[in-house]
Amino acid sequence: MITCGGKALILVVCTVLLLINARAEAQVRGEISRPGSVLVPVSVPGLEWGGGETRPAAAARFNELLAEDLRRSGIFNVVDPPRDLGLPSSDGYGGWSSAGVLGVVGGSYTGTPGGITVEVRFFDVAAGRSLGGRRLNGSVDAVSAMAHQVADGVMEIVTGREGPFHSWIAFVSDREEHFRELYVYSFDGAVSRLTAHRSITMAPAWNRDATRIAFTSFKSGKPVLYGYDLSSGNDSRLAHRHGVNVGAAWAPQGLSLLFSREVEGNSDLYILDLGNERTRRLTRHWGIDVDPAWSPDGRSVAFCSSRGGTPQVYVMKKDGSDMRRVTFEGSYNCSPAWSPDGRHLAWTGRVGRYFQILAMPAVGGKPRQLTFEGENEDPSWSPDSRFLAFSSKRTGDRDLYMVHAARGIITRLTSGPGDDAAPTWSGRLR
Amino acid sequence: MRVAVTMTVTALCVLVMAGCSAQGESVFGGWGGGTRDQDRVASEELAAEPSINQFEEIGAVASGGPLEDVSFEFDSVQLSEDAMAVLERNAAWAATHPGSRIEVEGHCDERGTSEYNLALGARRARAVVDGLVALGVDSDRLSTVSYGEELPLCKDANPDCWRRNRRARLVDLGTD
Repeated sequence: MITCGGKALILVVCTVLLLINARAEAQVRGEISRPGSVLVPVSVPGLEWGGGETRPAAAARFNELLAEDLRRSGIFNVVDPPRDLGLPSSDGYGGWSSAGVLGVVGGSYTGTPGGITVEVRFFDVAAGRSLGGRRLNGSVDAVSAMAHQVADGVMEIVTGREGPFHSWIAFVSDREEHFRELYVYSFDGAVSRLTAHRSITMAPAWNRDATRIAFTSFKSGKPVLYGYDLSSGNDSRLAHRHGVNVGAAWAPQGLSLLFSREVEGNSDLYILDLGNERTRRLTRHWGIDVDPAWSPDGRSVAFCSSRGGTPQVYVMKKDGSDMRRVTFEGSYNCSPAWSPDGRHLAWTGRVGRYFQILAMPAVGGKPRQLTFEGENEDPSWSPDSRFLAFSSKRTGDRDLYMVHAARGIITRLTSGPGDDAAPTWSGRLR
Repeated sequence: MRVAVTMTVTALCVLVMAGCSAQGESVFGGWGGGTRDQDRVASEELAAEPSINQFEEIGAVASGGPLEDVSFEFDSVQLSEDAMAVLERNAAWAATHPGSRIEVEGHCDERGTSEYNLALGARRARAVVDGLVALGVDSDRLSTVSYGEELPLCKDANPDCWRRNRRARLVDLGTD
């Protein structure tokens, strides 16, 4: 684990910036504020060989992914390291402080018989010391996972909050054939297909420890809830209820599953106890109730309902009491997502002609529009509550993107033929 | 064998329907000015598979068959006057084909969220079933399924395509 001086570092960074440029200070503190903020310039020089087998390809791949994650973090500006400048050391940071970077993310690797051990630190150039780091070892195939873990750790060192990149995004796509199958994206760009049902797959949702994905499939001809087990690659029925069953959401404690079930044309919310397989009805209204999302403390549920005439986001206690409407602008607000830190709600809302991703404080407040181009849907928070994955048709095809919720920086994640939809971001992998 | 039949039927549907007007006026069943021959084809050969199977063959669910699609407005389950007229023609077909079962599929355009649209599609299918029952069709012959926005007729982002996709599709499942 990184011994982290998050707050201390922010102070350090701010102090440095004060020295360099007084105006920058407020902006760096504003990691959580607005677009246009100053990014912290860092360099990611390649890993030095520290002994054992030489593994140049694995070391290069590690560095490439680490730099890419830091670039996407919304915190750093990754600049090329000056030539022939060794890692900062107790002997001096001299070259680095004149290189215009505030931090250096670097270290060394050792080639082990089966793989590689990496040791990477964050060097605070102005303070002239390392603020911590991480040593990891694994097989050569694991270098991408190791790079994501190091990037997440560096984000923690600098901000006090671990990054999101050691995680997966599950989604549905018809990219291979016209069927919609379940896929998973990882931040090294790899996309893997999980199902081969030759049918329609919808609404995937991770359980807390990222070992199972609940989803709805039409493989039996009707929409039925299934659970996909990542270790075995098998799926099994989760609920045996008649009618449309969709929108599964695992309780934070993992013991129950919220979903919507349609009977005679009307959809209401139900909760399935995974221990005894009993189902309890949560809502009872002629309006459509769908898309339930748990608050991270497991006490409340956000959902989408047409009970007021148009689809809007509502919040209630998990027993169905204290229901209140939380969206009021526009004629269509649906698919709420509660940030893992509990502080924000995001959803899909119609703004003018198009559907956009919006967010606001969970306690209420003014909605903020996060997307502005084309049709956008399906927001899902990153485990660190910094980013939202979503799908967008801005280029014609539907693809996956992510947006830095505070800064509005949008990064495209998938491309190519077919529609990629319904992204759902896992928790951190362990 | 079944696959071949489905493909043939699909091809027939496409050929026959190619002559239809954009209003969805049917050439089948004697109410839309169809010829005797087409009527015979419709009643004897166009017993389509439920669309999920058709989807497997062609990757989209074409309209066609002896029954007419019912259209809807955006985010609406209301049956318009035109839709009621379609329902009456479908009910008339059902009356002349006692014993045949009908599956009503609810479909939506791509706008709005997938899960809401799945629920909306279920509601459209139910609205059509209720309408048919009110017109005297035995409810035991009717079943529903919603495909939400998952099986579009077209994938273009324009009002004409959206209108085509907002439909309840009635599938003749034949007799038991």
